Order: sequence, then structure tokens, then C-alpha cells
Amino acid sequence: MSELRNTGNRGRLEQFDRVWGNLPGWGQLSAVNHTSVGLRFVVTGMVFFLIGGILAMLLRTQLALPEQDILSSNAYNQIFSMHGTVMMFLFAIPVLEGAAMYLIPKMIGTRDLVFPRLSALGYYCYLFGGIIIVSSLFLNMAPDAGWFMYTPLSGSFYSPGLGPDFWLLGITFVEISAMSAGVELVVSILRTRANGMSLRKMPIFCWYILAMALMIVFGFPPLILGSILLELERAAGMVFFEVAGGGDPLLWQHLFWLFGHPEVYIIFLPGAGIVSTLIPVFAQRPLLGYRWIVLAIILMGFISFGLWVHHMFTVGIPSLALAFFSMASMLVAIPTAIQFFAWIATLWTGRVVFHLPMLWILGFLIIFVAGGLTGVMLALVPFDWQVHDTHFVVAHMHYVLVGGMLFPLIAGFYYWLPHVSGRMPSDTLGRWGFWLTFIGFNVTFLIMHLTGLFGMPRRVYTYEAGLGWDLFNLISSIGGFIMAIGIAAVIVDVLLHFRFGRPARQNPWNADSLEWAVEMPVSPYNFASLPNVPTRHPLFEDPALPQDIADGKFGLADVSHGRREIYGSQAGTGKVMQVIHLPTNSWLPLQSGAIIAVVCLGLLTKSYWVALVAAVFAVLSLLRWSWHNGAHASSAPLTADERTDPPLHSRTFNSPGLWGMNVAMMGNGTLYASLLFGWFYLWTAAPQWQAPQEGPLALWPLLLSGALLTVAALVFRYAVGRLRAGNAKGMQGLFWISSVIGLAHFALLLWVLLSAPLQATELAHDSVLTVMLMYLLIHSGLSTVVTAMQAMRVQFGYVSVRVPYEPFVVWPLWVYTLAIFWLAVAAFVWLPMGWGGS
Amino acid sequence: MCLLVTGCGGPFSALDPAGPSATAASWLWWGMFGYFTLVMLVVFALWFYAMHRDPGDVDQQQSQRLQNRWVIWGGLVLPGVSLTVVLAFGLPIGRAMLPLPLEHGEPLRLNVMAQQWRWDVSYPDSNIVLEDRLVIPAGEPVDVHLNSADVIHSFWVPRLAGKLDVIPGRTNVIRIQADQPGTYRGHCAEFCGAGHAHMHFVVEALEPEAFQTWLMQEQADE
Amino acid sequence: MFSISHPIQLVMGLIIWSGWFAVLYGLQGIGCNVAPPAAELGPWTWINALLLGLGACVTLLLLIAAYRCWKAGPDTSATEDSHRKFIARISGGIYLLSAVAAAAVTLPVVIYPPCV
Repeated sequence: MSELRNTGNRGRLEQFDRVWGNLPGWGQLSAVNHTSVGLRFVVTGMVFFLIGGILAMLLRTQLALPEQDILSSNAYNQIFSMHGTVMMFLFAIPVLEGAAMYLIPKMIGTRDLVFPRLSALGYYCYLFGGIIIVSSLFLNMAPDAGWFMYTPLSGSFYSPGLGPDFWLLGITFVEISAMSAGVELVVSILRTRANGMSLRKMPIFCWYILAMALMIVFGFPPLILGSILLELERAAGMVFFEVAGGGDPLLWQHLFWLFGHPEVYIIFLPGAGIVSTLIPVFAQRPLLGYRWIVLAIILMGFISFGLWVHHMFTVGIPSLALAFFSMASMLVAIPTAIQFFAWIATLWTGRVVFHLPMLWILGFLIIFVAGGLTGVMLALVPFDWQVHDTHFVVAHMHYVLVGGMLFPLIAGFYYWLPHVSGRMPSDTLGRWGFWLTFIGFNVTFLIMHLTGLFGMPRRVYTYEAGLGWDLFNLISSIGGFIMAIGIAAVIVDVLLHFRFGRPARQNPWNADSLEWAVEMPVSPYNFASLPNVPTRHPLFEDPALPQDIADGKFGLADVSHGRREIYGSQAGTGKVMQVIHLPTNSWLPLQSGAIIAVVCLGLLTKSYWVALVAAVFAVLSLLRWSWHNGAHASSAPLTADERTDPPLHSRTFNSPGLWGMNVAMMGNGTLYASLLFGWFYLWTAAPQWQAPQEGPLALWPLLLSGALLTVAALVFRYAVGRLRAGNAKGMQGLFWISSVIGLAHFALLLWVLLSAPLQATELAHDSVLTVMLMYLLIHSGLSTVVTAMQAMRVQFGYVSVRVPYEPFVVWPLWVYTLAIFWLAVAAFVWLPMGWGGS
Repeated sequence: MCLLVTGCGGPFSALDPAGPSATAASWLWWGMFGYFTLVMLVVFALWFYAMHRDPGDVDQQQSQRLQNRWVIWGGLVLPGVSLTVVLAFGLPIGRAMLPLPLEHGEPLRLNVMAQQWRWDVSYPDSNIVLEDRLVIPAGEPVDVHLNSADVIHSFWVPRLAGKLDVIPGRTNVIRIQADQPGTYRGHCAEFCGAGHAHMHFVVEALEPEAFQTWLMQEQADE
Repeated sequence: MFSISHPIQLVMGLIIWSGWFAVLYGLQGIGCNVAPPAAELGPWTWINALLLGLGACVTLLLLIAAYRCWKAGPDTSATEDSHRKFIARISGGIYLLSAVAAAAVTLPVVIYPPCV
């Protein structure tokens, strides 16, 4: 057991174990604790990594010699599509999310993430979605149009099978998980830091994860939208990417890479975060250039959204436009270089201790620098025109992703393993693993640059002999297998260490950050008391901190009330301003995830009734979830002796729920903006765009519907304003009124949709319009339903002057619904009218 | 390096250019390869030295100065200068590859229709139709107008020029030029389904006079 | 919100940059759709001139913001109010680099014809 437990604190710590622990046996499935969920993400991700790795070995086997027929063209296409899909969507992102979910609360000195049930739902969506996607391989109907799914090849005419549907539905399902992790990490980092940990005192890793999480929130929606549109085109015959009806295949590429490029940085940032965390520890001095690195992270976060067209340099976009993106692509070298030289400066002034994790960091350095430099080459349009879609890009991309993500990740694994297992990894086997992986990797991919320059395109299942590619490919294949052996050695090492590793002492690497102040192996509650952390290096400054925390010398040390509690603090300064009461183990996430999986399977098998019924149940399940909140008996019911200093979060106006809603609406807004982009893009750029002579929507009913929506929102606003002033009289009635008017608006808008002569299967114009109206309807319906629920919760006493927070969470939804409605009217009705219907 | 391996040959090698665009791109490659290798080695050397040197005692102020010096020189100036150099060469080279109007006369025009998995080549103002084969005059710029009958393909003759995608619904124009008569191989570079790996074609460059003769003969044969 | 120590300053420079980048790309696309200039003109067209002018304005704006932040930084001593200094310094750097980035992405308009 942990060396921090002693006779003095054992009783209290065991009480903590009971309150924060998972249920035994099958009850483990109801776990919401970030340590459990984070580790599950990581382990599941590693399983998918092995699957992706096996696929890679099959690819390399096929390509080892020219004119082989081990794999047919069809099989090869499925396998390379799945290799990319599995590695990107089911390994890289989820593993990093999992690592972040595991580490962040520990680093910022709190006990859990701020929406624990959402973590669990995210995990189940990921698990079920991943299983659905991978199962397609075993059914021999895996997607074979590439992980990028370019239309029209992925459309229903050229890919009539279910492959693309597996991809589109499965990936969208998995992305629910990414989005929820994104929202959760943003709010957790901003709102639950230890007292006094202002932004500038945050461990640097938190800045990286904050940027990554925000990038997920803004980066994933374009792909979610694209997937929905493509699935609608495939399943319902609507027109978005098909030229004939006024669509454009390039719209898919824009949406895909609008996501796809930021995704690369979403993967790289946590990797760099691990490097920035480990280097100072092994140099035994604080990180130099903290502010520079923060600056670099912010720069990267933004500029990486301006690069997407560099995946489209060869599609025939005017050179001037390409040059804009070429410039932006090169600019990203600056924040990367800033980080590298800050690391060098840290090493320069430190005394480096050379442990196993540092070896992997060294591997990162060598591989990533090389990949970054070929990246600058590729950013140069005239050179890219030669090597685009050749093995040069394959090599570059693996250098960047394996160098920028896998190597730091394994460094991180070795570094944080003692945290999880309480044991140290083996140095010998670990070194073998490193060198085999490192050498194998470079043998595979260094020569591959040349294969590409010699003209070998990507995604060919075989090639003629004698083109100058034979030897290179053989070398690459041999290297691939060496690397596989290396990875196997690492896995064996990690597995063995759980049994044979020598026990680790507290803080075995002499690290500076708070996650090493928890008990080892890790406990479910992290900290038995929550300290003030007014410094960036708490353990450098006070090595006795772990014991003091375990002895309960700081805040929220009492758990006899049986509730899971953490501090909520101000986003900028980190001053504690409330106590957040967190939900405990719950079956709702598993239940909701399973029902959503049924929706997904229903759509996949084209059993639309099943999907519809399941969708209704999914909504009900989520609404039930939202019912178990605030002052509900299962949560934090009102009591006579309420805690007031600091107060419970549900007793304030500024709860984490409000932040979660706002961040979620930012992501949602990105989805909406992507749809607007699609509309304007098709309007201006689609080769055969056609618009009906007259707008198909009935104008006055539409405007009347908008007026009703506006009134509903204003009524809600009025009720919320009174609540803030401490007056809840008539609140229930006002909510009902708002909800009824909202319903009238919904009904009228639905009528507008149904009565419009829309030819959604003929014209892209009408397809986009239909999707937009459905999007508006969903939001109107949601606002209406949750407002009605608020009215009911007033009735039950869950919302009142003393528990005012929920209406403030709902209010942004109304604002959002109102904004998207009028923006849509402007973009889809007024603008075309002003333009003359063209 | 590659000279040692097989010569820069191979019928698809971008490093064995035979036209102005491909030549410019290969020079870009060798230039960037040399320069970036240098940058890379310097970064490695600094990193290794930084890791192994004895730092002595560094106080707060010194490390602050050191940090700013490293980041400003390495993080801002180095990439700033490098990018400026790369762009100073790259932007004009890119411009020269565009199918801009010529100073004298019009370039020869060819139409290529790509489909799963072949290339249909036609010559405007004549009824010549070829499959998987382009015949062009050597030493003259030729504009190839690309159209797709089905999915996205990409037209690439590595020894002559970079690639350009063939997008349904659009006509993309790529300019190619072969400096010497000869046969140059090309293939589809964008994944286009089961037959992607076999979607090859050749470009035959003839002496301009021989090309005119060929054009005449073919037209007569039709 | 417009105070120099508000955390929003950390990202404002890049939000402006992103906005400019979107406008740059959008205007080029719309311009080439609505009134494409002849390819013979090279970069000497109304589209390039418009983009160059706007780009210069955005760059100037960002430079002014950078200067404002930079001036606010050293006024406060190291110990006192260093949250303010932290935000102001990083924001200043971000504004400056955003200005560089805005200028850089605009630069190609002096070389390339707009629609080829």
C-alpha cells in the first residue's frame, strides 16, 4: 500500500475510498471516476493500436516485393483505409484524451473531472463505435475508399456496399466521445484548479491540453457535419457532393480537411505537452521559457486551422489561394521552433538524468525534427505538386505522427507507469524496445522518402518490378517488422512490470507537479485534502506536500457526508469560489451509450424504424440524466444547514454547467458555421449550381415562426432576469408560457418545411435547405423540451431562488437557437432574394 | 545519395527530370534537402551538447537571458530566415509552372478524359483519339485539359511536371513540356478504386517536325 | 473585456488573424467568381490591390495592439500584479506574431495572378 497511509490517516482515507471508489464486480461498468475512465480509454486505445499495427504489417507484407498477390486489390484497399481510420480515430485521439482525462485533475489538484458521467458516456460511445467500425473488417465489408473517404468514390454509386456507412456512422459515434472529452477538459481546466493556481501557475501540460480540447471543440464539427451530409447523400439520396444536382466533391474535401488538419495538431499538442513536462523533470530544473511556450501553444492552436488546403494543393484551386495556405503552413514552423529552443535552453541549464523516458524523448526529437522539416518542404506548393500523394508524404506523415505522438506517448507511459502500478519499469527490456522501435521506424520510413521521390504513388496495392522501387520497398518492409518487434518488447515490458517491477517510492523521478503528490498506486480520489497551490512547482518547493495532503491538512478533508466534492475556482486567478458536488457511480452513461449504439446499428442496417425508436429512447435517457441533477434527491438536495462559504455550485449562477453549455455551443456553432460555409461554397463554387426561381419557403409563416421563437426566448429571459434578482414568483408559469410559445414556433416551422416544394433528392440547394431546417427544428425542439422540464423542476423544488443555476444553463441554448434561426433566414432567404435568386 | 543507390533513374523518378517544371521542382528538392539537413544536424548537435554539458550554477537572471536568447534566435530568427529563403525561391518557381498565357502564340492543347481506369486522350480540331497515350511535340509547352467521367483521379508524369487532380465537374489545366524526344510514363496519383494501381499511361514526345507528320498521318487514317 | 489583463487578449490577435485569413480566402474566391480579371494582367488586378490594402490595414491594427500590450508589460514591477504582466506580455507577443502572420499570408498577392 501507499507509503503515505499511516495509522493516523488510515480511517479517513478508507472513508474516501468508499465514497470515491467504483462499485464492485459488474458495478465497475457504472464507474464515472476519471482515473478509471481515463485508464480504460488508454487501454482500449492500445488494443486498437495493435489492430492498426497488424493491418500495417499486412500492408508492408504485400508491398515487400513487386507484383505480389498476397492481398487482392480489394483487400488491400480495405486494409489501408482501416489502418488510417483505426490509428487516427480509434488510437491516437482517444489514447491522448484518456491520458489527459487521467492526468489533468491530478495536475490541477482536484479529485475528478467536472462532468464525470460525461466522461463515462464518452468512453462507451468510443468503445461501441470502435467495435462497430472494426467489426466491418471481419465481415469483409470494411470501407475501402480511404480514411479520407473522398467523394464521389465513397458515394453510393461507386461504393454500393456498406463500407462507407460503417465508417460514417461509426466515426460520428466515436466523435461524440471526442467532443464530450473536449468540452469536459476545457471546463475542468478552467474551473476546477486548486486554490491560487492562476493561469500562469498551471503546469505547462494543462496549457497544451486546454489548447487540444478547444481544438477538438472547434475542429471536429466540420467532419461531423460532412459525415452527416455524406450519409444523407448515400442513404437518402440527397445532393451535396454530386455534381449533377449542384453539389461539389470538393466540398467534402474542404470539410474533411477543415477537421483533418487541426486533428494533426490535436494529436501533436499533447505529445509536445508530455515532452515539455518530462524535460524539466529529467533536467532537474524548472522549464525555461514558460511564457514563450504558452505563446507557441496558442499560435499553433490557431494557425493550424489555416492550413487545411495544403492537403488540397493539387485539386486545381487558383495558385494565389494556394499561396495563402502555403504561407500559413510555413508559419506553423515558428511556434514549433520556439518550443524546441525552449527545450534546448532548459536542457542547457539543467543537469540531465538519463532514464528510460528520456530515451524516448530523444527519439521524439530526432524523428519529429526530420518530419517537421519535410513538412516545410511539402508546404511549398511547386514541390508539393511533385510529391503529393506519393510515398514521400507517407513517410513525412509517419515521421510527424509517430515522432510527434507515439514516441512522447511511450515516454509518458514509462514516466507515469509507477503512478498507476506503484512499480518501476525494467531498464534493460525497455532499452531493447526503444532501440528496436527507433531503428525499425527509421529503416521503414527514411528510405520511403526516396520511394516517393522515385514516383511511387500512395495507395497502390502492387507495383511493377524494375521501376526502381523494389529495393526501397523491401527495406521498408523489413524495417516495419523490426519496429513491430520493438513495440512488442515495449508491451511485454509494461505487462511484466506490473508483476516484477521493483516497487517505486513516492515521486520516483523527483518531479515538480502535483500529480506526484497522490498516493501510489493511485487512489480514486487523488487528494484527501485540497491544498492551495500558488506555485508552478509545488513539489520542488515543498517535498512534504504529499504527506500533508494525505493527512488532511487542507480543504474539503471531511468526507463523512458521503458526497463527492471538489472546489470550483475562477478561470483566470484560480481563486476558489464554490464547492462543486459531483455525481457518483451511475448506469446512465452505459445505458445512453448502448441506446445510441442501437441507433447507429439501426441506421447501418437501414432499419430506420429501429433507429427512430432507439433515438427517442436515447433522448429520454439523456433527459432522465439531466433530471438527476442539482437539488434532486440523488444529487445535492436542499438542507437546512447549507454550506455557504464557499457555497455549493448549484446554489450559484455561475456553475460549471453553464461553462459546459457555452463550450458545447461553441462546438455546435462550428457545426452550424460549417453548414453555412457549405451553403455559400456550393452557391459560389459548385460547377452546376442551380437555385429555384423563387425561394421554396413560405416567407410569412417563416417570419411568424421566427417572431414566436423570439417571444419565447424573451419570456425565458424575463424569468431568468427575475430569478437573478432573487424573485422566483410566477417562474414556473413563465417557463410554461415560454415552452408553449416555443412549441407553436416549432409546429409552424415544421409546417414550413413540410409544405415547401423541396426537391431534396434533385437539387443541392434544396438538400442544404432541408438540412438547415432540420437543424433549426432540433434546436427549437430541444429548447422547448428543456424549458418545459425547467417548469416541472420548479414544481418539484429542484429550481428555486435557493437553487437557481439550471435556468442559467438553459439560457445560452435559447440565445443560440434564436441566433441560428435569424442567421439562417438571412443566409437562405434574404440574401438570395437580394441577390436575385441566383 | 540516391545516385549511389540506383542512379536517379527509374521511369517515374521526379529526380530525373526531363521538363522545365520537373527540373525546377527537383532543384527545389535538392536545395531544401541540403539546407534542411544542415539545420537538422545543427539542432541535433545543440540538443546533444545541451544534454551533456555541465551547466554550472545558473541564477534566475542568467537563465532568463539565456532563454530569451535561445528562443529569439532559434525560435524566431532561424525559422524566419529559413522560410524567407525557401519562399524567395519557391514562390517565383511556382508561378513559372502555371499555365499562364505565353508571350508568343498559343500552347498546344490536349483533352484528357479520365475514368476508372483509363485515360482517353483527344486532340481538339481533329478527330484523333488515343487511349492511355499522349503524343506531344518535344520542346514546346502543352496544356492538358483534364476532365473526369466518374471519380477523382490525378494526372502525373513525374519526369515532366507535378500532378494535377482530375475533378468531376471541373476542367483543370496542367502545363507539361518535354525537353527531349522520348517516352515518359505517367500514372494516376489519386486513389480511385480497385484499379488505381494499374491506371498508367505514357507521354510520347516527338521532334516537332515528326509530331506534325504524325498528326497528319493520324488524321488521314481516321 | 478590453482591459489589457483580460485573458481574452491572449487569443484576440489570432482571432483577428483568423478572421482576416477567412476574408482573404473568401474575397479571392468570390472575386474570381464575380469578375475574374484576365490572366495576362498577372498580379496587377483589382482583387490583388484590394487584398493588399486590407492586409496592410489588418497588419497595422495588430501592430498597434501589440505596442499597446508591450507598453503595459514593464510598467508593473516583477512582484506586483504579475498576472497582469503575464497576460500583457504573452498577448503582446501574440499580437506581434499575428501581425507577422497577417502580413505573410497577404504577401503572395504581389506575385500571383488571382484566378489561375
